[in-house]
Amino acid sequence: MPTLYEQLGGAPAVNAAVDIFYRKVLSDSKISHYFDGIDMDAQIAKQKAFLTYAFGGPNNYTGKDLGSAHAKLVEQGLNDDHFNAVAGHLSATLTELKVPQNLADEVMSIAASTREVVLGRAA
Amino acid sequence: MPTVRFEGNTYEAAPNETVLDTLLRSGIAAPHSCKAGACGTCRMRAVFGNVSVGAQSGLRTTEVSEGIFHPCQQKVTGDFVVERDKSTPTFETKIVHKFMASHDVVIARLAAPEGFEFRAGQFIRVNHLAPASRCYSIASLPHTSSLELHIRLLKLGVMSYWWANEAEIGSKVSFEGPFGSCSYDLPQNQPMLLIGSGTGLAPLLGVVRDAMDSGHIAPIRIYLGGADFESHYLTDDLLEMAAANPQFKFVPCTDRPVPDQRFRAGSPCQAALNDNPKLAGWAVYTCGHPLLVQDTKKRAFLAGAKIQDIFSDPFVDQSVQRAA
Repeated sequence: MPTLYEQLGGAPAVNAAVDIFYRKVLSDSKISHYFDGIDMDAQIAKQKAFLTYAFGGPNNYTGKDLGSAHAKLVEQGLNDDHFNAVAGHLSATLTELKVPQNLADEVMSIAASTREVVLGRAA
Repeated sequence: MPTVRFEGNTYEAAPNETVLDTLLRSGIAAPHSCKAGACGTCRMRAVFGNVSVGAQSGLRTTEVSEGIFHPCQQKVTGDFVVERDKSTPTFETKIVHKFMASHDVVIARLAAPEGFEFRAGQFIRVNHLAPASRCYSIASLPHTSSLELHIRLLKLGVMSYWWANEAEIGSKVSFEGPFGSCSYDLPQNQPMLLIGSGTGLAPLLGVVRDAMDSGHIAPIRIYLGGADFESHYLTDDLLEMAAANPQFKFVPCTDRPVPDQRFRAGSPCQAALNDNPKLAGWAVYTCGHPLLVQDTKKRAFLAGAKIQDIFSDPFVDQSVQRAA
């Protein structure tokens, strides 16, 4: 029984998704300022890691990584609206790539499960 | 406070500092360039210490197990003992040609040393004035007899002083390398957009020469910025090359309008995007002032270029910081 990651297409699928996803994020004025002045290669690597995680793939992310990565931003006001914006772009990316609805739902569910940690609300 | 031990001395780290910054702050001339974990110039070996995944990103598995890491990406989370990575080869050569390409740009050619393999557009770290060292991109092709470097002279620069007053034909130069990923490795029919400033022209010119030497058939367009007319060099040669080659276009730009009609006013990135607004399928190269490079990478990506098709030499061209 192939895993979600395998069904989505594995690493090539992540590569196809990351450019589309990151372009949407950078073009959204609600959240693009969080990415100002950041080295793009480093940031794309992080987006790839996040997408791999959301696609149910092997990952180096631990809950602590996602939390500490966003801690400063949370202090500066990162909130549910920003999280929702990014989640929306992920969903739109999956639609653009014509990912079957049941698989897309699983990805969105994994992404949604990071909300509390990202926003620094996990215990 | 955690410490970093290097070459027999122990240095206290400041809170939240990287290993590289601890060394630099302690007066060690640790070689470095991009401070983004990309160029490999700062490589060291961790003899002791908990190296993070991020500080070993992009390295080969063999290097990782040897403890090679990028100190610019490693926060001093505990005690570290580090040493220089002795595995980068050093080459000895001499200057075979040197001339002033403008009032403050030297173009120097070094004899190509035996066994030195590189791609045009990569850079070398010249270290014969150690502990001072500087990085220069190679503008020439392999299998020619010399390496061509473009050097902007800075009034107070240690290396600049040497290039301006002491370097002459026959002077010895030693360097390490090659470093960097800004080189030509494309399908012949992929259009190329090259955006840079100042002596960022060196790697871009290397890439263009390589493309044309390899029979590249798609368009090749360079947009080159400079503070003003005087900061440009090789302008006539490049415009002649463009006049003789329909696939090649060269647009020199200056910050403010100048009376010379061949120059366009404004940012080279803006000029490039005005002429080529949709970059899906394009390869984009950008080198020079760090802010221009960062801006260009982002705007090229937003204009549709794939991240793997955007090449930037993270080498900070220190000369351009003066011109800006």
